[in-house]
Amino acid sequence: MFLPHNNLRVGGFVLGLALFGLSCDGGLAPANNDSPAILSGTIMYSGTWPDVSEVQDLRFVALRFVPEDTADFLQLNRLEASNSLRYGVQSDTFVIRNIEPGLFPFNGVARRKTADLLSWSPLGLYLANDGIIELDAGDSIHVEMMVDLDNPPDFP
Amino acid sequence: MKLAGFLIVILLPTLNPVAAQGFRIEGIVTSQSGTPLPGAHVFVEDRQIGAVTKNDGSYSIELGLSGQVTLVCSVVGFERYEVSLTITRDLVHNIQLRERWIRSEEIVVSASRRPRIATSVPSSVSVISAETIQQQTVISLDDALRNVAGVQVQGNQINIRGASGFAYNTGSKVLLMIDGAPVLSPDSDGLPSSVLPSDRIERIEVLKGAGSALYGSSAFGGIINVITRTPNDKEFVVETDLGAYGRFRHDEWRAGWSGSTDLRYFAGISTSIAGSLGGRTRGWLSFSARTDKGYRNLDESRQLQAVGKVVFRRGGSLSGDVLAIVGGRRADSFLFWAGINDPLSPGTIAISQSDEPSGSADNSTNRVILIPTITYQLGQAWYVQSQTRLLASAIRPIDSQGNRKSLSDGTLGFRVGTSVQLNHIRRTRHHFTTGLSIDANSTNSTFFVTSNGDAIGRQPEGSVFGQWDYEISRVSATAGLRFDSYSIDASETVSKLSPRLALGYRLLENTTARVSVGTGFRVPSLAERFTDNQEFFPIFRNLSLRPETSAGIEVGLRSSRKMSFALLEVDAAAFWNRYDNLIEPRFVRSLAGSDSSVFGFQFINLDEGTVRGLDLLTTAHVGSALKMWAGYTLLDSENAATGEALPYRSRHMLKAGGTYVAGERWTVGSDVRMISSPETIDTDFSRFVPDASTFVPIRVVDLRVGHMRRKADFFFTIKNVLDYYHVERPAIIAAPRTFTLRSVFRLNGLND
Repeated sequence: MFLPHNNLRVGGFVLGLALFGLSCDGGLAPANNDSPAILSGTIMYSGTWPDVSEVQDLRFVALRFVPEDTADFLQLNRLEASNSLRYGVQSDTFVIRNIEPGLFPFNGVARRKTADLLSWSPLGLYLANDGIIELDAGDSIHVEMMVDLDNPPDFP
Repeated sequence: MKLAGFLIVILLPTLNPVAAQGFRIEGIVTSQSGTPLPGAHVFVEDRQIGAVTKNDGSYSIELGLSGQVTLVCSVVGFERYEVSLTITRDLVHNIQLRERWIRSEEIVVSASRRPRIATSVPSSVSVISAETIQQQTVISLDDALRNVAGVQVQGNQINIRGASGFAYNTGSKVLLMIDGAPVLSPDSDGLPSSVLPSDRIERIEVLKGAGSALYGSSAFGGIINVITRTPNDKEFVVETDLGAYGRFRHDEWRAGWSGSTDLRYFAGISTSIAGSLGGRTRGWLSFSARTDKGYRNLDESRQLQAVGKVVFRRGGSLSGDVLAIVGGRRADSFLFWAGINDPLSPGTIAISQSDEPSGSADNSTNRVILIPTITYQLGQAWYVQSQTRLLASAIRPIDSQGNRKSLSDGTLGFRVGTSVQLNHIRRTRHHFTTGLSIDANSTNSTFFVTSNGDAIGRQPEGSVFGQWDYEISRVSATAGLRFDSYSIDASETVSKLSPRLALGYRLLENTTARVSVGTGFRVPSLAERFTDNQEFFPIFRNLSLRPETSAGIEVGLRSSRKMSFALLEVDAAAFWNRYDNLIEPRFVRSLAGSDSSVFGFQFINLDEGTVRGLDLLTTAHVGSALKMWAGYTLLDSENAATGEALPYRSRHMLKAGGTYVAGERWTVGSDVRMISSPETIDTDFSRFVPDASTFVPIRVVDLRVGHMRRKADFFFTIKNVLDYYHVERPAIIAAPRTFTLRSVFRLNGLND
């Protein structure tokens, strides 16, 4: 006869075993412990600014990928963006802090052309070092770039 | 006379009860040894009348009829009791039950719109009892549903057997009802976090599979029916909850939010008073207040709620009840995290111009729900039931200074409807139900741009339905048919016919096979169709969105067997559902704009999908002291167009639990959930939200202890005792280890 109290012991053993097995894995954890990097830069503008109505927002963006078209560009999770830059100036600076280290193969100044949050396109690309910015843990890198407002880069 | 009664039902749904007549059956339910049995179901078969025995085993049933009735009593661990009584006056009828190891004979109303023994229903249905709600210190509806086999909880969204993915707070594919009345207003972003104070809930029924043949559109993915307590004798109950969230163990996470090291507590109190209001009128009234500091930044909430229920009998034929809920809630809504390295802070969309986090929205919500129900007995074989529902909700955003904005910046929604249901009982095994239902819905939201170009969405609906239940010898059969018609903003009318056929066959004394086939559908919610906004994400309306439809079959086997040491119950079901025009959000190029560079989210119809799977639930009763259960659900879903699994469906779900009753005063128990990560997720969402594709398997263990005294009960739970970090929905981390102490004080009542 399998008495209830024996069954309880077995149940307790099984539960204990399950708890032990489950406790081996704590679930989600921070992705990595690398020190964040800092990217700063100076932007020099030349040429004629587009009408202010066509520059709803202006930022330096560093992409972790090379976009194929506008839709592909809109992977906001895979880019770092500065605060809004100033319109109509000859030069400006930016600082982006707390960047997860990595390789950024496509970088530049982008504008939002309309009120639509996603109507972004590049106004000028960072071309030094083949356009690549590489940030290692704890790096603080300063870049300089020119933006020819009369000749924005082609973009699909 | 019958016509007059019928008119009363239609025209006077809020009839004021006065000194009533009619008869009452009351008594005490005990074991053979004379021990009072609390929690036993005593009901009049095939009528909407019944009661659950109190702590002293007493029950009291107000009858709205006279003549011959069949009184049934059932409780786990004892043989079913059935007696035929002739009612000509008030009656005292004590019941003595014979102990045996027997399967649970819970009562459900959701499967047939009338009370039936759960095990006799040829459908898959789960019942969460009041006892379980207390033992698990359930506070919110999702809390209660987490431990139901086959149910996947995604925050305030519920997915039953893979019928829905993650809907981004734009609607529910599961119908939520309170006492049989639909209570999801058109502006609902999902299931409300707190429907009722837990001590006012009698049970929660979960009907798995499409219920459109009885309940229409919203029941596409299943039904959750919260049954409130029936007022009995004088009672005064004070229930308090005190709890705290544990501290996350990762330094990096705590560093992102200074508040994470503070005591993150929650507390609630509800007081309920019940008693006679004179004559045959009884009622209860409950006030509750709750505050929750939250375990994430900008995730606090406060809530005040008043709930009341009045039940009355008038004459021998008329009875009814009125449930009223008035509440206000002020809460931050944590929408998405800042990333896996900072999951306790709401995120910000990288290129948004707002300085405020986009991943949190602060709102003030006021709701009113009124549900009067009247039942009129038209002789021995007929009764008619009329139910009216009035829902109103006002949601106002709160600005960064903590001030409520104008209602014109928020959402105002109404739902007013009524249904009339006629029931015919021919002998006791033959039941026919038919009725009609009409509802008017209207929502004014700043997020909407309707087909008229304004912000007011309307979706009136009407339906007729019928269901025939037949039980004879070894066979039980159910055939249902419902016709629904929805008008969407006066621009389009959608009509659907939803049939369902179910058969049960008793193979052996304790073994029943069942098979059911049926269809379901769901009209797009107003939010899915009309939301057109750029505030959080760019979302475009889709006026051409079509209803999603389903067709499915379920084959099941239910069996119980008495072993030498335990009674084993097994319920196995295999199901296959085909879905057409499934509604899912996608990142698309705008169809409305002329600028081809405009992109955003839009709810679209997928072509086709299938979900097939297996539900296996095993329960073991070892004596009357130990109950253990385990449920496993296998889901195999496929998007017919891509061949991939449908998003946010977990392939494997294993849930288990056990409760040991030590003597008369102590219970200890545990609940375990192990759920695999979704096979696919919506990659479009991950474009904007950091680490939104991050999922891990869910492995959660809850522990609980209860101590029952004569005038007070205490329940202590540690949820997620292993402090296992996971997400249920994208980019929102679930609660860490959480401690809750619930105290229930009965300051007056039958125990005195």
